[in-house]
Amino acid sequence: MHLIDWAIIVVYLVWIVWDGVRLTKNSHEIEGYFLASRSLPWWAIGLSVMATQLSAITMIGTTGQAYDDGMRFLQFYYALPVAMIVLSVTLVPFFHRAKVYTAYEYLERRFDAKTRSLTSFLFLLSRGMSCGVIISAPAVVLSIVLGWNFTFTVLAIGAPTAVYTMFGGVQAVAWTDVKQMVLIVFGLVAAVVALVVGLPDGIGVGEALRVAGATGRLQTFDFRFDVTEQYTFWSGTIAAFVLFMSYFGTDQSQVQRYLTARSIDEARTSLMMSAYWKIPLQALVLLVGVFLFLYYLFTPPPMLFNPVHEARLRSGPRAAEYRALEARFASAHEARRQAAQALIEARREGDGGSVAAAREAFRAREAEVRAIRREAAALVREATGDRAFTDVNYVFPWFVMHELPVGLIGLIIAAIFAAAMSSISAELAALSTATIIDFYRRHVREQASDRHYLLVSKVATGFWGLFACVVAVYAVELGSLIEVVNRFGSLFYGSILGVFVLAIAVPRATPRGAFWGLLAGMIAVALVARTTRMAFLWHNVVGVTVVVGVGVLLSLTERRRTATP
Amino acid sequence: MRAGGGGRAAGPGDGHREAGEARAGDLVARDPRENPAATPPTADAAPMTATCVKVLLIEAATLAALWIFQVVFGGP
Repeated sequence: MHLIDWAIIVVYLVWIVWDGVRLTKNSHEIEGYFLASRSLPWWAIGLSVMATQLSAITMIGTTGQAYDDGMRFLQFYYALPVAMIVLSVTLVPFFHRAKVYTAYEYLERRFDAKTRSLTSFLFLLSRGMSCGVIISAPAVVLSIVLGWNFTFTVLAIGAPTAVYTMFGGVQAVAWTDVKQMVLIVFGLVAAVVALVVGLPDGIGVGEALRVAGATGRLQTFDFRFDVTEQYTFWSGTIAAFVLFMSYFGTDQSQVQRYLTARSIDEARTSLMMSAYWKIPLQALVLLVGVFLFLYYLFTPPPMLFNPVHEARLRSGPRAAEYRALEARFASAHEARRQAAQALIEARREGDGGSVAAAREAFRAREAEVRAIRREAAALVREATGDRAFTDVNYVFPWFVMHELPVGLIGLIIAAIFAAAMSSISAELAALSTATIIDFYRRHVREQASDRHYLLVSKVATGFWGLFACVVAVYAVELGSLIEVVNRFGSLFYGSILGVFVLAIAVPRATPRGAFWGLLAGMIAVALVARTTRMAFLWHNVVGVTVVVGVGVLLSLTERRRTATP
Repeated sequence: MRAGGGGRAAGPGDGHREAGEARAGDLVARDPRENPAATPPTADAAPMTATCVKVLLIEAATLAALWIFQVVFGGP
């Protein structure tokens, strides 16, 4: 990488820490530290919320996923605007008026201390672990791409974020997110432009997109009703609706954002920003992946995009096997390129019969290329013992490092750092808030000065930053832990939403019903996850249904028993 | 200012409160039916009908555009 690119990355890291830390002056009291004194404008909150969701995993993993599989993932977001409306009408004014610091505080007012503590503990557990994964996943890729030591890469992402969040609090989170979001969108748009410019002369964007369409990569609607399929129209509208209601309505990392708004209306408007822009933004991310596919359709790509694994295979005992695969890949790629060219020519001539034949021929060549790449990935897993290896995560970074001009490389790598940091900072602030408000102030020291709480809050933020970095380092050593953590998190979302539904919509719900309902919901989801092939999005529907069902039943029986003399 | 002033929740040490018994500062009593004074969640929320319609229309337009995109570029 050129010196200019290194300079851009270093300048970004230094500037973002300075920008966050200077906001310390606005965080001299606990309300300023955790809730920005409820003073943030809607557009800053809206951009901050969107930046949190657009993590480095999205920039690296989702573009790779679209390169390999297309835009089907977009369906996951179809329910988001409706969820935003429902939340704006129900929970946003509710929490805002309650003047709470955490969503879980309300559960104690409505039910009891143990229900509050359990939900808050579940949040700390799942978010603390997932924060490590948010650092670990991009750190694995960036350490290989940049040639850095893995632990150093984890610290390069985690330490600056922990520092500015620790000193600047939620204000630093929000205002750095705004700038990071601008950088991320700029990086994505620049990538799309570079990819379009990189298409071969004489092939238009429309023609190229039709070639991608022939492989099914532009499919954004799949109406099959199959609960074992992760991304269909129905999982995206029904199951994802429950997930979004839970994530935006009960997850402290999101609730804390709209609690920082000046008014209920500003809080709502900030959520509406996601309702309007999330689907187009996600489509842009996925389009980067589709254009990567088109770029490497006409430009010879490496068989595997992970340079470290490739080098190990080349010099290892299975080098001959790998070279033979590479030779097959090169000829299959060339055959696919010619088939794509033939499909474009056939379309230009407009003969329906030859278009259909060229399309089938192209699909056959595409299937061949995919099969060889699968064989190569299987060889890597066997030879290196890295069972979690997925090459798609390296496609976008490879393109950035090898195909883009000096300057743009640094900017896009900085954008990937920004995406990781903007997601982690919000989580750290939320983890610290829940730790102090739901546990320290509730169970350890109920009465203390604002200065004292501010100090322990900063210590808590630093602790969670350190915890996330340690999890990030060990997550990669344990390999499949990342998957375990993702599945672990999916056990809670639906169930936690169920408790809030009981609290707000079921006046007869009792503390006992809510507590045991929550436990029953989590056990039910764990059983479903263990014994069926149901896609994880549907686990949220199971969770909320069981919690509400069991909670209502227990509450009714309890009331009947109490009423009986 | 004390952290979460007015917002600290009732705990085990708060005495024996019966279901539905609201405390000053509580926004929702344990059983709103038994305490009509408990504030319903959206009582002072501004009307959102126009915003809801706008969001739904924009989502419908977005999905329609994606459908057209899929048909135009993904078709035969």
